[in-house]
Amino acid sequence: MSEAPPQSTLVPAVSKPDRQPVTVSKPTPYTFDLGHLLATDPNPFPSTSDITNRNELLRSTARDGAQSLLNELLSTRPITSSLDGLTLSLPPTTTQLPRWKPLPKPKPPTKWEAFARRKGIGKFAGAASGGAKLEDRRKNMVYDEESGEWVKKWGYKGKNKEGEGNDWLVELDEKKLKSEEKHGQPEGRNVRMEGKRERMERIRRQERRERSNARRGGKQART
Amino acid sequence: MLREVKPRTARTARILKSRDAKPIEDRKKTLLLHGPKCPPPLHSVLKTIHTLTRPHSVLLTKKNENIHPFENVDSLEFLAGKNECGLVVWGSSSKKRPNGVTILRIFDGRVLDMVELLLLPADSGGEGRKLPVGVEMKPMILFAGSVWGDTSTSEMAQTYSMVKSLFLDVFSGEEVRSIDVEGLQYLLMIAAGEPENGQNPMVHLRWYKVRTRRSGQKLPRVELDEVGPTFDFRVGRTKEADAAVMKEAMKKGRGLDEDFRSKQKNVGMDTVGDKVGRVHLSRQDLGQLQTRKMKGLKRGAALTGEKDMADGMEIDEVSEDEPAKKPRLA
Repeated sequence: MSEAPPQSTLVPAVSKPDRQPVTVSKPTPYTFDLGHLLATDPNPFPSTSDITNRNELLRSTARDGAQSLLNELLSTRPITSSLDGLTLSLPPTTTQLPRWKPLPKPKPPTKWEAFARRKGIGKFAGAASGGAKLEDRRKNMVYDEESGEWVKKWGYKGKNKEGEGNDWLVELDEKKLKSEEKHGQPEGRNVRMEGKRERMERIRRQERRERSNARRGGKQART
Repeated sequence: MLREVKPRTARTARILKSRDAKPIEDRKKTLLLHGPKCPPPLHSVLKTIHTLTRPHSVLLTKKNENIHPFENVDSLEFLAGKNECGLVVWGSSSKKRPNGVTILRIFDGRVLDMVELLLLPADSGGEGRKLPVGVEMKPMILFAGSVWGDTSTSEMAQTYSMVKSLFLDVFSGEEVRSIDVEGLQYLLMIAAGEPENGQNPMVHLRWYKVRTRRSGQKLPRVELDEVGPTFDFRVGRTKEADAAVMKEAMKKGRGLDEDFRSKQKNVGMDTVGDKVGRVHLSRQDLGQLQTRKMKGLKRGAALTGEKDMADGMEIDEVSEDEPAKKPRLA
């Protein structure tokens, strides 16, 4: 491959004529899909059965194509310059390619979802219900008044396990005492672990609901 | 897949969930494998595609007996499913069809369409040349030849549009919204000659490295250096996609179009920059209004410090010698 001599940077722009043109003109214009960095040259490519000229022809067509593609990119797309360099923004693609898996079918709403949608609760509440409030609810940190620190809401050493069996003092619940006196205490129950039992019961109830939702929603809700 | 796997741990549940269909899909993975005979030119095709599509491709090295895509696709479908690949490039060589590369696309666990390309003996120009292309570089692609732009319904046009779509799927890479100008480094050219004697024209694949030089004008002068191997293919057998299945595969989800989401009817910005919308109310039956609970409407309900006022609802005589006009209560 012969190297073309590099042009001097001191070339006066006006007087010297272009030895090498920067634009490409063809009988049928190129079509572009810049989202794929794709250019199509619909001009008939001369017969390729004979090998002798082939590579040269291919190379010159390729050069023209690359030139017009780069021209198109640099002239039509907005360029932003940042610390890393110049960035071009690309449009969404026009040639669509087939998917690999079929489109996911929308899941039927769970019982709570249908209720909340009707009442306008939670994420269905309206414009004000998202944003900062939603983020707060998702984060795992809660401000603990007593220690003055941020503790985890759930998980290992989370605040939801506060009272369970690790306090040296367990307060008795008045109402529960009364009902126990009435009905009699179930055997082998330790008052200390009351909190943990309630949490486990809640978890089991939730899993039950999820299973029932999965049954109603079908296999789509399997994971 | 073979059997329905029920997740027993959160980890496996996550893995299964990641295999579910997504509204916007990631880039397809390519599976590259070959049959009992894989001569060097064929192997170089597989290796080149693997280098260009890394890490989104899987190159299997063992030979696979008894796979004939145009007779039975089951084993290829199974392998593609196991390796989670949407594209399969199968290389095989026999006496009748030497150096054959078959490219298949998978949709919903089944083969969508496939094309057999037979490698022709290449000129030695490309032997042993390296492909200096980094990982995940996006290529510029050029399709040259009238056959690529042909939108007629002739058989040849349909075949070549399928070939074009397949090549795009394999080589085009990740869809990106913006690209660094430095990243426009190499060009893949796919050229097809003119159909002569009703025969399908040959397809030539070439890779070039792009060099830009100052031209004294705003746009640079582009020069190309040939890199990598050269491939010339003859188009062989094809299997087109079933129209209904293809339609399913081309479906786009709702709400993926940004325009669709942002265009909210009835809401606009006024000149000051406030968000303005119109609230449409139905017609109010004024006869049904409960006026008894509206204290301001009562005759004797004049507030201290105010003179007799004209009430909005009740038609009262306004005394003519009222010094100032009080605003009517609506």
